[in-house]
Amino acid sequence: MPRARIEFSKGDRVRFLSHLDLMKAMARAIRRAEIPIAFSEGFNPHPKMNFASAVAVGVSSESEYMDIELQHEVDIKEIVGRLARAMPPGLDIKGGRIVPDSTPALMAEVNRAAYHVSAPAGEPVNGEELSAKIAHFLSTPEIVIEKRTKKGLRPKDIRPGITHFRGSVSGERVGFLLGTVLGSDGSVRPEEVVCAFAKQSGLPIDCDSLYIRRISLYTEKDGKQIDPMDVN
Amino acid sequence: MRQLIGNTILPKVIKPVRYEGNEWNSVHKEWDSTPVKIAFAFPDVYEVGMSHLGLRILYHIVNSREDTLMERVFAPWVDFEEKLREIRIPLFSLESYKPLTEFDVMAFTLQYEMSFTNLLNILNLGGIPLLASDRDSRWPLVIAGGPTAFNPEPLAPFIDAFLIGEGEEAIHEIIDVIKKWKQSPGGYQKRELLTDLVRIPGVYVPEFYDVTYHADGTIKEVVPNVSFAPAHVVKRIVRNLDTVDFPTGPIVPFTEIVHDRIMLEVLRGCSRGCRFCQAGMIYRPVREKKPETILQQASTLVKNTGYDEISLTSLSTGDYTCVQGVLESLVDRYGPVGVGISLPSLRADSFSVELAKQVQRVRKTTLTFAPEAGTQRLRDVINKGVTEKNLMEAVEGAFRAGWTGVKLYFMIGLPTEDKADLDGIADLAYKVVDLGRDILGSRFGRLKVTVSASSFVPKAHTPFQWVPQDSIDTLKEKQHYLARRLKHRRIVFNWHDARLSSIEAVFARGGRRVAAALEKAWRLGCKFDSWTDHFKFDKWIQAFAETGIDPAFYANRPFGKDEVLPWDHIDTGINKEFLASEYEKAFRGETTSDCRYDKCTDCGVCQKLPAAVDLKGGAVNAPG
Repeated sequence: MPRARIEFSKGDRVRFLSHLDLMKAMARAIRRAEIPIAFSEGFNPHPKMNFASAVAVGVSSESEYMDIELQHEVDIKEIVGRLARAMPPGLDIKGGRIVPDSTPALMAEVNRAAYHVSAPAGEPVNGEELSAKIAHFLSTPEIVIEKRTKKGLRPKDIRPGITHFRGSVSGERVGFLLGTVLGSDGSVRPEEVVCAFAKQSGLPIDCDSLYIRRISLYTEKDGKQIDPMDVN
Repeated sequence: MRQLIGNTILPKVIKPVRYEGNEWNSVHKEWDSTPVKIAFAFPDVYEVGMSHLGLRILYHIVNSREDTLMERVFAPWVDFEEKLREIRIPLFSLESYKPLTEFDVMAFTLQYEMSFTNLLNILNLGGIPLLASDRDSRWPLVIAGGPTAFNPEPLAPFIDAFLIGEGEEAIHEIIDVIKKWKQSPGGYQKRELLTDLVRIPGVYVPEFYDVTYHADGTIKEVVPNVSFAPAHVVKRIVRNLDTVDFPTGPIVPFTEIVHDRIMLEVLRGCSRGCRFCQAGMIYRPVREKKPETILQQASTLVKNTGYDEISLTSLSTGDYTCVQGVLESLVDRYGPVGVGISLPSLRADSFSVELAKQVQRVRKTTLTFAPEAGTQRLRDVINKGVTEKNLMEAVEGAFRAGWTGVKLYFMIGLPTEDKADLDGIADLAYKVVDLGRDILGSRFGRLKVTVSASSFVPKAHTPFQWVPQDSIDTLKEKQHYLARRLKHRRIVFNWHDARLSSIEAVFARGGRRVAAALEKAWRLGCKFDSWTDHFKFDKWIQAFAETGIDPAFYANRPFGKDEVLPWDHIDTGINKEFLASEYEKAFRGETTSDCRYDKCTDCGVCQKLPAAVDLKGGAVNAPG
């Protein structure tokens, strides 16, 4: 069955949607757009759609991806156009393409995420000091945080999950560009990194009021970065 | 404003999507150029309020007018309220985040008595004075409607005008009056506006009525204090459900709400005549939609919402004369595209189980029936036309069709109830268990019989409006007795807090005087009373004590047959004589049949109101 890959954004005004809310919103938009999506077999048929990654409540995103399986071939321009008109405000379709059958599932493929994180600072922060402290932070071989799990607080080393981390000062706020590993093994959340940094550096960064925006999702493979829309 | 809330409050509250306000199909109108602005307030949280069809209907109708906008307001959850009060921001509407004080009208829907404290809280959070007498024309006009407005008196001091009955047509007349005065060049006095409003049939303006009392606290009379207010306010009613405006582009919430599906109303009213049931009295007569209307609306609704489930709603959808044909068409049409059909309410008979079988897509584990009482004697008293045979056939059908769970709804504290009736509840539960053992065989281990017992609350405009409620202690004793009798591995017994039911009864049958206790209770911190975690019984008792209100006077006293009832000036179209005769028949154990299947019961509605029983199916189903 043909598969369409759709790129969309989760805007600021809908950043408080949970992943479940987002999935439902998409399923309903697809139905409104009358896209011939395929359904799972069985008593309670589900539309066949898969997402690259869940975006957390409160986090907006410039680029998210979903695959939808189609009952039959449809012109991708038609899908993108109809879907765009059926999207609730704040969720916008950025593009789409038909991907070959052999393309791995998004979840299996996408393994990196980049974020912009902005945090209020209690007192003015010096840019050079910030850079120096980030360099020190990254040179730490192990960054262990307490992670809340179902079994209580567990220690977790987040250092392997950080691919890049830069900071800059803008007025009374501190901004970070942050790259993380995504996926079942060792994925870290942006707030974990920024809060661990605030704690280690002692800088007056209010990590309870972070404003997080996901900038990109991609696949890191053999030293190359592959955009999910760029599959062969 | 939106940004401020988004940055300071939303990251710190649970379920922030409740306050998002930009859902699909929400209506965002140009604020400055729209002459009339109405905030529709549902005095409970978003997920509850958004599940209410009346809101959807009025939102659609009002926003269809070019000259008016309607935006939504819900009771913010306690965490959100705390933040609002902390940073001193008044409560706002969801669509444009405008403070409530900027609206011309605050329109509340009253669905249950225990939401009254939330209504006061919403006014207060909006910075609006609670008392109508403290608000002049500079404040929003506060109006209210919905089923609980049929006894408006407990809210009389707070509400400027009530609309009694169905709002689809009357709302236009109300808006026209408000617009006229708002645009009058010299400004206006609120009394001028109210004087015009009260001329609209169905509109009740409490300040135009004086209540006088006897020494014993009962009402002497309720009379208009102005010549232009009617002695009786007759409810509004829509004659034709096929032609009345119905929302086919309803809002699709982002977050899961209680009824997260298309709500397609198939008929209005119920004439089964259960004597405790207020809905069965106040929504008469029964009016059905044509099958073509339903199919047409279903198609538009699916296209406009993208929902994957259509619920055919009404007080009793199994009674719809065209139910089978409509179900078949809908299942044929939407099954293949993954849209399911559901029936919200089922009668306890095998016909209903057949319907349930027809629509079930997911093998749901539980079917729910409401025999209401444990013995035939008591079911006759309450005129619940369901027999044990009906119920057992229904349960058998359900087990044979694969259901392994049955939920049985009962009421305790019904008039004339004795120990045999409580035993009857337990006996029925055990009979269902036995039947399950016989039919389910190896799957018996999965059987779950849930017995739910709510406490009878006498309601205005019903044959049982005169009946006292059992005391809290008596209700508790009955609950404990049943809990002991229903100890069984396959039975789960649930009951409601008797203290909550007793306060509900005070406001269900209270007059104007109980308003003081309501305001006091709110001042003492009562809100979200119907939420178990937030119900503060001790504060309510304190509020009654401090305002000199004896709750038992309203909840536990038999009201006299010649007594003027607090709601006697509100007219549902049903004759008081009919209610009295139903009351008498109840105590004689005599039943009254449904006028859809038998002769007219002379309730008075079709004679008094501009509407008639409107059935679309010709030959009707056999009575259940």
